[in-house]
Amino acid sequence: MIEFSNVTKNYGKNTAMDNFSIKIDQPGMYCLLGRNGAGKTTLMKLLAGNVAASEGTITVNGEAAGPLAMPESVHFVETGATQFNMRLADLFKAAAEVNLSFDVPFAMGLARRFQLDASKRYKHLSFGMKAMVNTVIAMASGRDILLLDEPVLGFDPVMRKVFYELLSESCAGSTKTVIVSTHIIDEIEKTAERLIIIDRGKKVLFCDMAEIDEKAYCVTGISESVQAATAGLNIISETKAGGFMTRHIYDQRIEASEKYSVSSLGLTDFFVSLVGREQNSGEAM
Amino acid sequence: MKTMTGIAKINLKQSKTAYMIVGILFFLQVGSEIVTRVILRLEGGGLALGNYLLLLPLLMGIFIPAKNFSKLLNLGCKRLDFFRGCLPAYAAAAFFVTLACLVLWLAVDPVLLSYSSEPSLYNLFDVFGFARDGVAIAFFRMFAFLLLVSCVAHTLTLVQGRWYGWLADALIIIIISVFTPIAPLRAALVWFFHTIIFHEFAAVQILSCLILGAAVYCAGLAPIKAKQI
Repeated sequence: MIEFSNVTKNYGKNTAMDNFSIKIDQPGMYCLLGRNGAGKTTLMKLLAGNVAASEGTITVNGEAAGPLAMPESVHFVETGATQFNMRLADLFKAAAEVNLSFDVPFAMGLARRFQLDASKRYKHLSFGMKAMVNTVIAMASGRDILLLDEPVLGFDPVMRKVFYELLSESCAGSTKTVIVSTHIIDEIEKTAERLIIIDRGKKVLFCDMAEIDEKAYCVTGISESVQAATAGLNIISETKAGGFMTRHIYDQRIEASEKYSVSSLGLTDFFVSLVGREQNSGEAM
Repeated sequence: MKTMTGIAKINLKQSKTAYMIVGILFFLQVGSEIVTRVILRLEGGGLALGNYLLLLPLLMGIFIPAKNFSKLLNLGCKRLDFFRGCLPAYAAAAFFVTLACLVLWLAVDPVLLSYSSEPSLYNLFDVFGFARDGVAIAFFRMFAFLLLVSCVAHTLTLVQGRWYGWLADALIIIIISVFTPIAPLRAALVWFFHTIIFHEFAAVQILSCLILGAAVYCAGLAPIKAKQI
């Protein structure tokens, strides 16, 4: 179980996490969304014990996490992480030397599936392939909590598909908790079970993906009708054009009528509506 | 324990830059000795071959924290394991370098000296006075000294880029530049180097190197805690 209690992380005068609290007690795949600089990487670093919290506590399976108490059950892969310039087969063996739960045959199997040549040296791989190697090392780490920061950066669409299939397979029926931060929302939407949205170091939303399908929708129609129909609901954003209006709602569903239509809101639109409010209001002005 | 050994093994394998620098220097000196002393029979003093190998523990103390730290963590190593896994690598490096240096001192230096009419090779075993109590004691004195060198280089590399790193650098410069011209302070400096290098009692020199090395190495835990990947 992962628990952040009132965690604040300051980098000099900048606050990356601001009194952040969350409790993750179910295994599965979590999608971590946030704009650039929202605090996603900091959240992962704090959880992995790579940086110390300025205030508050982080516990993993009941034990406090910190730089000198890095949780044994966590493996964190940072964007652009570099590895020793060894042949991949040797690199996996090296990983097994520093992490006794690392599964070398499984890593070799994953490498084959990603079409990585295990006899190639790390430096001779392309950017995308290096990212794959980092992902393979994480997935074969044998640790229960995997933190993948922008893991598909540099992957081609085929590799992204393989990657998400693998993630689903490794999460299915296992006790693994995988937290994936990405900006390619449409792809993770199909795989992730739960969603965490953060903005400016604060938790904006933490829910099941099914809840988004159920509660996130948009209402479009004549302004007065839309306003009347959505009064009292949780409106996350709105746009106006002439006498028409579209409101993005995160609340109980309402039925469509002759005066307005109700349609589902995709995760990307939902995310943009939720954390892009300032941008929207700026554009509106 | 297994993790510690694994990290030490990786650190030893992945110190190629240090090996390359020392190897180049060593073989250049071998070439130079063969040409000047053996072929041309030129007289003149010079550093013994083994001295060039002594650079290895120093360079490993710099390159391991500078180059291997992030990569080990990316492989899944924990910070505390990194702290535990560096010292065995430095100890192994100091052991093998001392051994190689000893072999060169005992087996190769006499051969090179046979081409000169006067003793003109300066080996640190002789210069530091390690040789006066026999080969075994000389080995342990050099080993302890090299381990101290690795630990100091390791911690000084780790603190670079942090405020206490700048403070440590400034203090070293101040100690060297201020202590040297002022007689009582110079005496303190002389006493320090006498204790860790030249002390007439081998046990005092060995113990002071090991204790100081351990203290300096442990001080490296704070920068390891704060070091960015």
